[in-house]
Parts: sequence; C-alpha cells; structure tokens
Amino acid sequence: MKKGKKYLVDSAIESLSPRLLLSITEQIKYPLLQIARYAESSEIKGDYDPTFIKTIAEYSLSLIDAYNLGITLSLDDTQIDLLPVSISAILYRTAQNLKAIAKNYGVSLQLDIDGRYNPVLTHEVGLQASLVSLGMALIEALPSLDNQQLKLHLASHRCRYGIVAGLYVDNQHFSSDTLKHGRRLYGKVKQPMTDLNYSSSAGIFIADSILNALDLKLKVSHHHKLYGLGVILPPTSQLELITT
Amino acid sequence: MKHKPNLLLIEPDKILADIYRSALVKNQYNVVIVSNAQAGIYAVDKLLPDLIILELQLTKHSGVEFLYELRSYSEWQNIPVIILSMVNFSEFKNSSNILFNNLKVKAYYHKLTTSVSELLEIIQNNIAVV
Repeated sequence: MKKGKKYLVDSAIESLSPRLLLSITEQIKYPLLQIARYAESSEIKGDYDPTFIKTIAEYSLSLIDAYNLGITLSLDDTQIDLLPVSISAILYRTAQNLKAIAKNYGVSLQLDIDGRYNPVLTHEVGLQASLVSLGMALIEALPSLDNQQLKLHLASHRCRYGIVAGLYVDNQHFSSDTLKHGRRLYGKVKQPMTDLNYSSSAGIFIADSILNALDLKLKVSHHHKLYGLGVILPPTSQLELITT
Repeated sequence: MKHKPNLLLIEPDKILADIYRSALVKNQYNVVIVSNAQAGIYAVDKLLPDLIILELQLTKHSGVEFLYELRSYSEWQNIPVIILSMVNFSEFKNSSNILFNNLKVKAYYHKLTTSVSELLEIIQNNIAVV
C-alpha cells in the first residue's frame, strides 16, 4: 500500500474512533445546559424568547449532523462527488449559517474575500459543514479570550499551494503546536486546546475529520494580521476550461 | 440602606454567564462576571467580592490556578469561594483535601445538576455566614 493511501485509510479510521464521539458528548453538554438554565431562568423572570432556544438547539443539531457527515464520508465505500465550487459562495453561506449563534455569543462576523478566484473541485456540503463546525468552535471560544474585539473573519486568500479558505480572529493563541496537541488529546481530556477554548473544541475536530475524508488538511493560517485555521484548496486543471 | 453583596462570577461560557447574571441581578446582587482566571484576579483586586463563584474549566489558566494565585495574597485568604463547575467532583476525590483545606473552597457544585434557583440558595447561605 502506498504511503499516501495508507494515510487516507488511517485518517478515516481515526475519524470513526470513539474519541471524536467523546469530544462531541462533552461539547453538547454546553448547549443542553444553556437550554435548561435559560428555560428555568426565563420562567422565573417571565421573558421567554423562543428564538434563543431555537438557535442553540439548531447549533447542536448541526454539530451532530457534521459529525455524521464526517463518518459517512470516511467510510471506505462512500462515493464522494466532487464538483466545481466557488470559495466566495461557500464563505458567504458559512457566514449566513453562523449568524444566529454568533449573535448569541456577541460575536460579529466579517466576510473578507480578497480578489476573484477560480472555482475549486471539492465536496461542497463537506467543505461548508467543516467551516461551519470550525466557526462554531471559534465563536464559542472568542468571548473567553482576552480579545478586545469579538469579531470572526471569514476570509480567503491565495497561497503557494492554492486558495486558503479560513476563519480568523485577532488573537495570537493559534499555533501549529496548539492544533497538534489538540489532535493528540481530543477525546482523552476535557480541554484539548486549553489556550484557545474552555470546552472540548469538538467543532475543530469534526472539521478535521470531514476534511481528512476529503483529502484536505486543516492548518493554522494567517490572514493579514489575523490568526486562525484554514483549509488549502489546491487548483485543478480540470476546471481550467470553465474559467477561460 | 441595605448593602448589596458583591459577587464575582468566573464563567467562560458567555451564554451561561448572561443567564446567571440576569438571575443574580434580579435577586439584588452586584455582579461582576469575568471569563478567565487572569481577569478574575484583577476583578478581585478591584471589587473585593463578598463571594466568588468559580468554574474550574477555563481558557488558558485553570480555576485551580486561580485559587492558588488568590490564596497567595494574605488579604484575600478569607474571601469565600464556591466552585460551580462542568467538572464533576468525583474527578477531584483524591485531591479534595487540597481544594477544601489548602485552597479554602467552601463548597463544590456540579454545574449540570445545579439549577439557577439552587445556585441562588447556595449564594444566600454562603454570604450569610461570612
């Protein structure tokens, strides 16, 4: 078996491991607890807001859905349909999906798409689900950091290997080591990324599992003076006809 | 005029913090909420709270680190601290002596099983005996 192929199979097995499930069960305690305490508190005060509960519940559901997608895509016999996808459109839709939960956490979103890009060949649903999961983890983490600005940038830029689509904040707690340690520890400890988040950061590892299944990699990335996590989407000669 | 007790809540989750804040303010407490241990130490210095409610699972420095720092100052030895944490107490069974004796924690509550009304009762009891 070639080394690359072996890596893919290993990644798939990793995605299916109970560690990711443990990470999600830790993560999902937060929205459930928020709903329980909010329900009790609003009953006492008499100011129940159904939209608040709806947003939190939908956030939990989309996290579970992304986990399911990661597993489905990782299965050996799954056929993955790759299609030409616009990065700008994906980032725009990601921002739309994150809008409500960002509001709950007091985080503002900013789309920052530099220039025009050729479409990339990828699995649209998978890429978007991974960016949304990633966004949820960062939105949750931002208010607990020492940031002056609670702003999440959804950005893209060119790099040597293709186009990077990522999520960035004005915070220096992102390092390759943080991500590396997190990957080693998730599912084994409650807080695999202590410098970044108080929770299990499940959204980051779900994104990782989906991207692994698509043979893409989540990496620590910089965008101007911002720090974050991004995925490199390599250009493909198959799409040159479309863009010329 | 009756003195409103000063509470310091160290809670990293913004949504939970907002929920607790509204319940505490409604019950006539002055509440300062911070999201991490470093901000907690600054807040103690500024506020000199009547009670600290502490989560252990924080970003960067943990709640235990906060406690060590807090108790390293002689003037803050007697500020009562109760833990309200996502971490179940069973995980601290072997080191409960350190928490309760060395770090002078008054009580430990699991956040998942402590309702808002129970928390209000706990606060009232712990402030009353200061």
